[in-house]
This record gives sequence, C-alpha cells and structure tokens, in this order.
Amino acid sequence: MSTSDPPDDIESEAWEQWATDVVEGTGFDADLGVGLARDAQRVAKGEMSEAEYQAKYHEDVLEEFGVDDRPTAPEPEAPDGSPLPGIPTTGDRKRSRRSVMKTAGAVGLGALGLSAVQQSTRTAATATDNDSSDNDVQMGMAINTDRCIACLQCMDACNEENGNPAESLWMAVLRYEEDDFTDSEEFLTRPCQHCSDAPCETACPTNARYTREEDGIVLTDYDQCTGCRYCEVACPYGVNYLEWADPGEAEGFEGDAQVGDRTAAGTAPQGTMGKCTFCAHRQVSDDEDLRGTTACEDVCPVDAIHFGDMNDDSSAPRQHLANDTDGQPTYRLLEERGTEPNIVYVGNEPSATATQVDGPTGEDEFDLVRERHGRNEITLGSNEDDD
Amino acid sequence: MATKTDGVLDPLRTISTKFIALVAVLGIAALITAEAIIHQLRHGLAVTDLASWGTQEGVTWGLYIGTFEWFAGMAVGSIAVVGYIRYRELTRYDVIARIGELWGLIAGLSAAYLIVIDLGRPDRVLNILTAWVVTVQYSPLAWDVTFVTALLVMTSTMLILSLRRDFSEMDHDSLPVYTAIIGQVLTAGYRPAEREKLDSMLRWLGLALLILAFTGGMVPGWLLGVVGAQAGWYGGIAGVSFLAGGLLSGVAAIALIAGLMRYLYDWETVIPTDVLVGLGKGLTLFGFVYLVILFNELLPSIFPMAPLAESRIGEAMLYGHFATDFWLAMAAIAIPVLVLAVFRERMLASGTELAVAGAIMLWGVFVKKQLTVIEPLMYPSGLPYEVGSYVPTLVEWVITIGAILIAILLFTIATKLVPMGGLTDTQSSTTEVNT
Ligand code: SF4
Ligand code: SF4
Repeated sequence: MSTSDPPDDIESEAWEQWATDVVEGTGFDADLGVGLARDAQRVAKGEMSEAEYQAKYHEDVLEEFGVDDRPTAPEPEAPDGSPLPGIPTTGDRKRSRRSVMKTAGAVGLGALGLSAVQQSTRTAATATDNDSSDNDVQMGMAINTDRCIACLQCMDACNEENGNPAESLWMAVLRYEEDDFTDSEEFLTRPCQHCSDAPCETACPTNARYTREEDGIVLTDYDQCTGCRYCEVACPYGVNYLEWADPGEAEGFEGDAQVGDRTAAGTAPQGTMGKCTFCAHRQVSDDEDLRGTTACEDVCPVDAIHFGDMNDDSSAPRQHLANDTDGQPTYRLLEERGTEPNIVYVGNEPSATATQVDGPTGEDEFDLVRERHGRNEITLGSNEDDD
Repeated sequence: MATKTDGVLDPLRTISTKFIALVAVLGIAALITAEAIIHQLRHGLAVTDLASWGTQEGVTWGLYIGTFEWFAGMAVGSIAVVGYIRYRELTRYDVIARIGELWGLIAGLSAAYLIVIDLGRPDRVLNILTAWVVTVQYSPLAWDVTFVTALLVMTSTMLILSLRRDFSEMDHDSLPVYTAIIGQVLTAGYRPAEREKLDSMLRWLGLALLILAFTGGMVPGWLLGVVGAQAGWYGGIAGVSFLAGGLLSGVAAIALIAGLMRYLYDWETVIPTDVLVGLGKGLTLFGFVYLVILFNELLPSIFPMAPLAESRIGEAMLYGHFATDFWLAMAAIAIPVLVLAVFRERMLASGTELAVAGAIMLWGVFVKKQLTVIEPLMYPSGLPYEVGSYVPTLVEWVITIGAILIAILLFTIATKLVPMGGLTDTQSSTTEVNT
C-alpha cells in the first residue's frame, strides 16, 4: 500500500489517482472504495451528515463485503424476527468501536481517513436525525480530580444511598503519591467506569452483567448472578465487590431494586456481585428531580463530579469538559485497555508507579472500612514494604 | 498368561483390613469435608479469606480455583493417556488406560464441583447452563463448562465401552456379586459378533479423546489467558502452558496410582517393568516441556524492557514474596525429571520409586497452579492499589484437601467394583510408547 501522503483536495485528479492506487492494492472494488473514502472526508469536514453517508453506501457495501458492519447498518434478524443473540452491547445496542475498526481494517480503507469518521460515529450519532426514536443516550461522568479535596463524602453518600455494607466501596477515593521528582499527592475518585466495551460483561457466564439499553449503564442482574467473580477479574479497574457475607439487618437498600424488568439497583444480595450502578434506581425513578442525578454528585462540596449523557453536548459532564477544565488535562482511565470507559477525568492521570498514601480524612470517619470483615486490618503502604 | 489373568482381578477378590482402614480414614475425611462445605453454604464465602481485589486488598479467586485448575489439568492429562493407549491399541498398557479412565472421570468431576463450591450462589449454578446458548459465544467460563461436560461425557463413554469389552470376556460367576451385577448391566445384549465393532469404536473414541485433550484441553488455560486485565495471566502461552502442566500431572497421577497398585498387589506381571519405564519416560518428557514453557512464561518479565505490571509479578515469583513456594515447586518438578532421566531403568524396576516421583511432581504442579491464580490479583496493575494478601482459612484448606481425599476415596472404591483391565494377554503389543 502506498505510504505517500494524500493530496489535500479531494475533488482533484491527483487525489482520485492516489486513492485508486491505494484501494486497488486491497483487491476490493476500487470505485466503491474511493467513493467511500471521499465522502468520509466530507463527513469529517462536516459537509455531509453521517446518516446520509451510511445510507448512501449501504447496498454497495453489502454487495461487496457480504456484510455491512458499519454503525447504522440494519440489525440482522433471525428468521422468527427476533434479534440474533449476540455478544453483549454490540448486538443489542450499538457496535463497539472494535468491531467497526475490524471492518475498516479488513476493507483496507483505514489509510483513507475512514476510520477517523468511524471513530467519531459513536459520539456523533445522536446528532443525526434518522434514529431519533432509537435512544443513543450514554450516561457517564466528568470527574474533576483537580478539584477533589478527598473529603470522602461521595463514598459515604454512595454507601448510604445504596445501603452497602461498610466494606463495599462502590465509590472509592484513592489518595496516591507520584514516585517522581514532583512527589505530588493526588486523588483518584473511582466509581465503575460503565465501559461501552465492558470486559466484565464479556466474561459473565450467566448474562447477569449487562448494559441497559436506555442509557448505557452497566448493571448486574441480582436474580441471575451466580457469584463466580469472573467479571471482577476481567475488569481492569477493581470496582467490583462481591457481597461475601449476609449483610444482616443493619444494612439494606430502601429504594426499589427493580430496574426495568431486572433486579439491579441498590446493594447486592449475599453471594452476588455489586458495583456502582450510577444510582440506577434514581434513573428510573418517577421523581423527575432524581433522574439524571447520583448521590455522589449531589454531595460533592467542590462540584468535582458531573453526571449526565455523554452524547449530549448540553449535559453537565459535557459542559464541564467544554468550559470548566481550567486548562487541566483530560483523560480516561486505562484507555489503552480498550474498554471505552464513560468517565472522563480532568486532572493528572495516575502513573503506573503511583502508590497509595494515608491522608487526614480516613474511611473510618464515616464508618467505612477497606478490609472485608473478618480479615486483617489494612495499612496503606504495602507497595513500599514489599520486595 | 495365567498370572496376569488372575492378577488383574485380585483387587476385586480381596478386601483386606488395610483396605477397610483406608476407606474408613478417607470416609471420615469426607465427612469432615462435607461439614466444612455445609458450614460454607450456611455462612457464605465470608468463611474464606477471599476478598475483592482493589480496595479490599484481597484475591477474589484462591485455593478453590487453583485446585480446580489442577484437577482439570489432571483430567486432561489422563484422557490424553487413555486416548493414546486406546487409539494405538497398546494392550500391555490396558491397566494404565483403565486407571486413566477412572482418574480422568474422577478428576473431571472434582474440578466441576470445585467450581460450584467457589460460587457465591452455588444454588444458581444452573443459571450458567440456562444462559449457555448466549454466553458460549463469548464467555470463557461458559467454554470451560462446555469442555468439562464434553470431557465427562466422553470419558464415561470410554469407560463404559471398555468395561463392556472386559466384562464380556469374564466369567461373571467368579466375580464378587456386585461386580457381577455391574458386569451384567454393562454387557446387556452383548453378542460375540459385536467384538470387532467394539474394538474399533474404542480405537476411534481413543482418537477423539486425544483430540479433545489437545484442543479443548487448553480451555481452562484460556480461562485465565484471555483476561487482559490481569498481567501474568494474559498471553498466548496460557493454553499451551495449561496443557503441558495437565499432561505432566495426568501422567504423574497415573504413575502414582500404577506404582502403588503394583506394590500393593504384587502386580509384576500385570504392570510389567517396561510399562513403568514408559510412564517414566512420559514424566521426564512432560516435566521437561512444562518447565521450559514456564520459564518462557516468566523469564521475559524480569528483563528491564518488560512492562511494569509483568515485571512486578515475575519478580515476586522469582525472588520476591512467592519465591520460596515457586522454587520449591520448580524443584519438585525439575529434580524428578533429572533423576528419571539419569537413573531411569534402575529406578523403575519397582513401582514405588515411580509413585514417589509422581507424587512429588503432582505437588509441584499443585503449588504452581495456586501461585498462577493468586499472583496478579495480589499484585494489581493499572490503578494505584495496594499489594493484597491471602491466607487461606481452615475451611478452605479442609475443603481443598478434602476434595483430593474424596477423589482418592472414590478411586479406591472403584478398584473394588470394576476390573482394572481385561483378561486376554494374547495379542500383547510389542509397541513401545515412544514418549
Ligand atoms: S469499570 Fe469494570 S465493572 Fe465497570 S463496566 Fe468497566 S469493566 Fe465493567
Ligand atoms: S459474579 Fe455474577 S455478574 Fe459477575 S461474572 Fe459471575 S455471574 Fe456474572
């Protein structure tokens, strides 16, 4: 494949020639490839809407490749009309970027700028009008760790709200120190990242871990979960908490655990897997003031947590990211793992060598604990003593 | 060969006080284990030392999963041995194949129930089956369930068919009454004309077992090997490494049993020396291969260019927190490999040395499996979490060791119920196991 840079003007002869050369190398239909590539550039420049782009080539792509694996291609259906069972998320709701990228790679058009458009699809899709009935809401958060003062009130509020036992820290604020010349001390506010390509879901052998279609929240069906903890080992963020023991009477969730037709809100019953639900019971609540809010966001005294639809540029997280970052860097945690997390952080990213440290506010101030009850007490700094 | 004819049925005909004592001891162990299991069912996994990795600084999978991997490996190794013997029709190894059939089945069952014991909600284990149609498309745990099921079904089929053949040659009146009943059931409708077909079925089933062992046999390795979140698990070598460990531990378990039975029943003719030598060669080869693979898995991680997460784990294994266990386990595999390679013929004249070598190597694999499971969970990578800790509780030890003792109990009883081989020794094969 040619590695020369493409000419700038996509209408020019030179560009046409260059594109044809590249596509011919792939063995696929050259006219289609060049057309796709040119219009992809148009979409990237905003001259063409994504829906138009998808529609224009659907037939041709299907004919050439036997499958149109692009984001707005119609879902394949089983003969009885039901959607085919597919891997979680990607089959039901939307396609993961990975499968999209796979097609782009196979077609060999990555070099022509197609993948840039494909990547933007997930966030831009809401802007298109042809699927207004189809929800493309993806709840997420912008968390400004630069503002965070590690008061741990979000942790306390979370456990209160969800009736979690003291050891199940669905929200955890990690205090850490960088092991470099800065020796800077930072905080990491860490709920579940509600990944769009969630490995926990792929791991689950019972289909208990799922993504809610309506708003992209990742939940555990407490009636289905068998407590195997495969989701926990598959998640790179360490946000899953099995309920090891019977919570007893002291604990408990007072709200309605029902989320749609699944039992998935509030603390997890004994033997099942719990983790941050983005306060799912609030999202399905009849009370309009509760919808679109979470307990941690409500309580944060410095307004570090912003919860809302990541696909809606007027939402709280998007607004925060657009206007209030004060020049701080933004990042997603462990993004290179390909999980497509839906939490965007504002502040410094912890490095791989960062180590946890103690701080003035400890979990014990809120009757929260780190250690699973019955196990030895935890002292921070084990990283240091270990050989 | 009259001696063999008699010898192979000896375990069926004698019930010594030693045997009764052994069964009694193992029976008591089984009861204690049952008590521990009930205790865990009542109070939940809180009676273990397992905890969430992350803020709870624990390991979420521990002894039970490590032991599952060990049993699953032995099952894979056992069916590979059975498959090889049946496919190549190595009749001199007939008794070895029967040991492998029984142990493969028992090890597979033990693996399966350890998974259930490890569940937070064991009452919902069926959810895994009802969701299977969908989850098998992506969840390695669903693949694992599929593999273990296939293993159990195929191994029992092999056992039933090979027993049908063996029983068909026996005079049922000379057998103890319960064995005779089993024989009656298994040979129901048997006609001598069927013999040829049965032989060829066993042969092809042997090939199928061999194929299953070398393909599906890697699935329990992938269970960990596909988990991108855990450095030390993730990687292309996990399946191969599991298979190699499985072949080693399967052969080791069979060698241990064969050596012991030869000693107990004076089976010099039933398990001749050349068969012991064949098993010894298997142990040497698979032990060596497993070591090579393990070092390939670990060594790159300690070079300065390795990713940080990997190197923390490699260092903990090679000279850190886990070094003592790790090196003892490696020695338990390497030393028998060396000794067997150097003193093979002299050493294997009697079965006891082979049994000892097998037992030591099994222990080595057991320890390595445990380390593999808990390592990355104890040394999390990615976020600034602390190094975790794990000290299995008494309940965990009792259930784990109990699972092993129960497996031994089942095997011991099986030797008194079914013949350990057929009677004919006429077409005794001269083919050597070229391992
Ligand atoms: S953060 Fe972990 S538990 Fe949450 S969705 Fe992602 S993989 Fe799943
Ligand atoms: S613990 Fe529950 S949610 Fe997690 S993988 Fe197992 S069955 Fe699925």
